[in-house]
Amino acid sequence: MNDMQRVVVAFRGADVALRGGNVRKAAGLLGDLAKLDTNVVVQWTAALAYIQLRDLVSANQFLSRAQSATHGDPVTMLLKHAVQSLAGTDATANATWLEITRKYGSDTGVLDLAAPIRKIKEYMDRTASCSILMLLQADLHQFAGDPKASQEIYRRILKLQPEWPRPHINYGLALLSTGQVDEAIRVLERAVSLDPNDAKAALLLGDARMKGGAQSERPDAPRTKTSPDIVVTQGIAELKRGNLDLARSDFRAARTLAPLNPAPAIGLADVERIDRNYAKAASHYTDALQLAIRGGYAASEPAIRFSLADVYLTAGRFHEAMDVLETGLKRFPQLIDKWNSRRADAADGLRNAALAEQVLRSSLETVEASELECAVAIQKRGLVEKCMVTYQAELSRKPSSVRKFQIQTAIGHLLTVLGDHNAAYAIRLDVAKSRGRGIDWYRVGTSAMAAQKPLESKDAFRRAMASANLPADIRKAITPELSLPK
Amino acid sequence: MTSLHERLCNWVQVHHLYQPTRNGLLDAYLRHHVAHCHHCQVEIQSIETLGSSIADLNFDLASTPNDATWARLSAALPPRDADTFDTEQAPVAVRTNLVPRAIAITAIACTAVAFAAIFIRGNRSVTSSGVQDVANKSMPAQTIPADKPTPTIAPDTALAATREQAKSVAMLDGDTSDPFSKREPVSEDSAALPPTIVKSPVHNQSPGKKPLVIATSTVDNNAMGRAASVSIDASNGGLDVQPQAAPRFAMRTSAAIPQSDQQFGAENTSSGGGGFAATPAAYTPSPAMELTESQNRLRSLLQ
Repeated sequence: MNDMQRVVVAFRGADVALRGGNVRKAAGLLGDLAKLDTNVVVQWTAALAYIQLRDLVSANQFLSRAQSATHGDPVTMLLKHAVQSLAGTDATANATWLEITRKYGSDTGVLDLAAPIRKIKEYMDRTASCSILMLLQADLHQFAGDPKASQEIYRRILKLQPEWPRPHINYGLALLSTGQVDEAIRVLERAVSLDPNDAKAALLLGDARMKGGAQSERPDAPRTKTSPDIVVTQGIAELKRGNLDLARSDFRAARTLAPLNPAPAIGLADVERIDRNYAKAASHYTDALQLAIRGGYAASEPAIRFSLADVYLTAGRFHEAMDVLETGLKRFPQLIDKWNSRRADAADGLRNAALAEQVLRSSLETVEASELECAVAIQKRGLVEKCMVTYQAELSRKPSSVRKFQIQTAIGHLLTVLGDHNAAYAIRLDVAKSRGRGIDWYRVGTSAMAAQKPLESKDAFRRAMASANLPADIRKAITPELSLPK
Repeated sequence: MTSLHERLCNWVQVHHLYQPTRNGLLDAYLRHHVAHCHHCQVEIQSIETLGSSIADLNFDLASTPNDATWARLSAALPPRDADTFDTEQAPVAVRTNLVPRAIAITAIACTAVAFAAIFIRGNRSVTSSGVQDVANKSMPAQTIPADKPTPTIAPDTALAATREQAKSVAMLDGDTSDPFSKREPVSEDSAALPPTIVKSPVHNQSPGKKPLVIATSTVDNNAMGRAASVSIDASNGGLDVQPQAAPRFAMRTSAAIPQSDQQFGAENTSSGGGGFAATPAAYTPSPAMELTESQNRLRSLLQ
């Protein structure tokens, strides 16, 4: 029997074993194969099979072989992280995750796993495939922020292995991540019925039901000491039901179980915030912030900072709020509009109207997504006229072309908020003709539409669509406008 | 047993009054119920002054702000245009058949009589040891034997009279509630709460009286719009109307001062999330929680 035949036999045997609900036999077959075949994909597959079996020692052996074959790759590290988490070594698992995000993380918060995904696909095309390898492939798509691809593969696995709970659970998670709550509930209910003792399935089902609006739903999973996630979810359920004391005790228990996880601290902070114990809320949010930074929860950090700043603003602690927001702006400058809208509030609290105006204008001139929000904030503070005068004065001094476009764009936003759509259309048209970016034409189109100029509006939208760098959401918004009859 | 003072205090808190000083509590109660309807406009305009001034409070204080802090707060508030007491120029009374001043004086007098009656009865009902008090010979020192139960005080006719009097004062504003009755559980539905009303300090005609601040504890979210309009008015010369008004500012809803008077850092001892500070309604976890949980779920995908 040559190598390829050995792989095909082992993979088919594993699939048959899984179909009969025998994960141990499947893992054994894949483990035997991995001992003979040094290919890294086989090592990954065997490691994942043993992780499913909770045989962490054997899984570690295959991961060591994979490590020596690749000298470091994201899949091996992800599997190692899973083993470390299951072993309860949170600090080591956290360190591994930080290394993964440092080496393979992207600006968008997802992992760059294009190379291993390609490698797996090539192996499957060339040699053979099995359900566990497909599961790994789907999971990697999920890590890479491609839920469509992962869902497609999960569906294929479900057809092959309708009695195997694991792909049901991961598919349910993928559905939840894309907001398909009803479908997720259906899939997760199936997972729970296949294995009523699976705490993770019960946890996700509770999650999905809560997201589906059943706020009183409490996860049915037993309170196991090894599952802080369940305790956190139970805390969230109690929070939603308004049982703050129960939620508080749940989050405290979860913090004891997972001291490096920011979720319990955030939960405690949410409870105290709702209960108006603002000092405690601020303290818990600060803890959560530190844990998030140390634990590689980069996507959570801005949200925690916003919550902390809001607590400070609510309690009238404007200096502290300003500190939090300024650090946030430095760390996540792409969220300038959100930082600055709160900084303006803090500046108001500090009786510093000039600073409030400055930060709002800064957002108005530089942020493309939330320009009207900034303009509305300026209008609310009664600063529109003052801004207009300042802008006109600056324009009269003949600034650079970049600055001129910025000012003209800002004036366009302010005119829009004031309801002078004809004037906004004129100035935006001027900018679009000079600069010619897709978003400029989009703004011209919206102003023309508001000024009852349908022909000009359509023309502007067409020009916007012709631009290659028009953001996808704007392109999506324009499409129905162009399809309307004249 | 709950004291008269505590019951009054509870009653005032239920009705969203604020007590500047404990001693002025009854005074605050009477003044509110005799006068508050006449100055709604002034109160609405002055809400933001209090809102701004709250920010000035030292939140590190562990307990209720002291009188000096409240005096500073009072000083920041605009003065009343007209006094409701001792003046003929008070706005036209809603109740023309009743004289507020007479009622106020009568109620205070009755309360004084009630306290005196309680005090005297209390003195009589305990056994005197016969030892003379050196400091105050007119009042012999009293001791209560440890094995003897404390005698109960019989219902006092003077107290009952005070109660009736206070009820009649309360009814002047169309409010039939009884400040002396036991406090009923109050609905925590914020929608049912009255709009924020802040009373500016009253100019006292008689010397020696402290300026009085009466404020509700509710801050209306809609106050943001009002604040903006007031600010515009002020910039157009409206400052003459409120010369001491602090700069107004509009805040995001999430950053609005909550309805609770609880200070930053104050412990909320209410159970079950109920009580004054929280409502037993459904809450949504913060976006931070949602994001962190989704990351946790993703991390556990391979497990």
